[in-house]
Amino acid sequence: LAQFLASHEHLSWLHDINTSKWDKAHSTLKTLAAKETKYAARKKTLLSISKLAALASDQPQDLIQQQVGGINNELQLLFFQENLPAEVLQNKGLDADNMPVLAPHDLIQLYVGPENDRANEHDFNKALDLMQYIDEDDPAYEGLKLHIWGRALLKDDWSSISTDEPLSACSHTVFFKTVELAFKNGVDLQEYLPDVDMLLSSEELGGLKDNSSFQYLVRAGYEQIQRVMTQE
Amino acid sequence: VTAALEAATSEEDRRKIRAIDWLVFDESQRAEALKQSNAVMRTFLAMKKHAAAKEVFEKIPSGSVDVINRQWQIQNGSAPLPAEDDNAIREYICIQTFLMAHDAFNDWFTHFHHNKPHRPKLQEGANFTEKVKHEHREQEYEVEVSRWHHSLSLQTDDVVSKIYNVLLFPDGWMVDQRMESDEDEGRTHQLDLLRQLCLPTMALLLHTVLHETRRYADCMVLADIIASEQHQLYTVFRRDELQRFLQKLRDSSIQLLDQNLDPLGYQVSS
Repeated sequence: LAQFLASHEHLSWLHDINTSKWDKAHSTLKTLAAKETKYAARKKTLLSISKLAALASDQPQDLIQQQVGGINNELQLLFFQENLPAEVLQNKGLDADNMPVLAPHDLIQLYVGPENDRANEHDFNKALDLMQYIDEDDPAYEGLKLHIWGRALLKDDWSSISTDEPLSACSHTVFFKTVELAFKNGVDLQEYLPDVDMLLSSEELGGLKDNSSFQYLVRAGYEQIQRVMTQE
Repeated sequence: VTAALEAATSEEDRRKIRAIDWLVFDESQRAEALKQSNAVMRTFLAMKKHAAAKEVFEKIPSGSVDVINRQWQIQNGSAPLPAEDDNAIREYICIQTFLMAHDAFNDWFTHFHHNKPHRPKLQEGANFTEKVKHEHREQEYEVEVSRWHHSLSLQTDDVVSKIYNVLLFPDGWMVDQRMESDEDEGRTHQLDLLRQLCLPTMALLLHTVLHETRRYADCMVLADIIASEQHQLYTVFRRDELQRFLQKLRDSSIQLLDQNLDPLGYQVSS
């Protein structure tokens, strides 16, 4: 049995546990988790056992902490998937107990896209948090940023907002509530908030793009955001 | 198993238990009585004297939380309870949750190991009448076994959910939610020790229940709970306890392989 277990990667960690090779069990399980696409739940358990194996090893504490940190990062991504609103899962025909592993791109889309009809500032902030999992060199990176904020802008009916007191009038919009929450959560807005001209000319906005009072309100809000950020 | 899980109640313990009767006598002193009882129960739990802890618990009148709130309002109006009273109430509920899980495990253990019906034996060279009788006893046995399985399944669900109530106690079992200005360091230290003593044991008992009842895939999912950052359970395990726990998961995994499933209990595709 030992030899059989050792010769198959998806089983070798069982042999490693039996022979107290905790570090090896940790890395094999982590590799298996990275390859897992079929079930999010299976990926979670592979990562969890991998984490426990790292903690069970007698390596230096800082190395263990580094390994645990890496696993936690992966578990956090699954946490975003587990916490998708029930409505979104239903709209996408996903079964919470049998979901495949979704990529960060997909998760961002699901949090801000039409599947999440009732998306609020918390959903948009989750999408911003998920940006950490997208490589900056990824060709989709800039597009995703624009997409998140563009979708946030589309949540409100801007034509009904008065331009007399732009700052207070805009403060209840999903877009500005998202900014406020992100600011409070310590999200790097310099990095994740796109240039105002880019955002306002984004195709995503459709007809809203040509609405001058909308343009005015968002620009006024942006100025305020810039002021607050430079004060920090 | 029982010997390792339970220590006997001594005469000295009996005196401590009897003293609780005096403490709960006066309703206006109930908050103080609860704190004293908690302290006694903490000591008993630390020595695995669960029967003694339960006796103390049963001496605290069941409506005590209401009594404490009412007494506080009589004297202080609508001001919120002081942190130490709040913490004591929470601790009392944590202890209750633990004792309930412990009882459920004992019941399950008895049912699993001692109540299982025995298959009737047929003597060699039995005559016709004896054979007919035996057949009849066999049928009765089958009925009893299926009854035993049914009630085992119910008891297993019960003990599993009660142990989960301890492991997943909102915001952590035996974790104070309010900080006091003059914190009782001795008490805080005891709470930490109890977490380190009781939670890994509870996790292992849960594994035992799931494994013995062949719920192997559920055993593997236990890893998710222990490793989770939200619940922080892995932080109360010593290294050797984690190693032992991983060995147990391995045992369950081997059983799953034996059923032609993958190591975590999923169907093997292709």
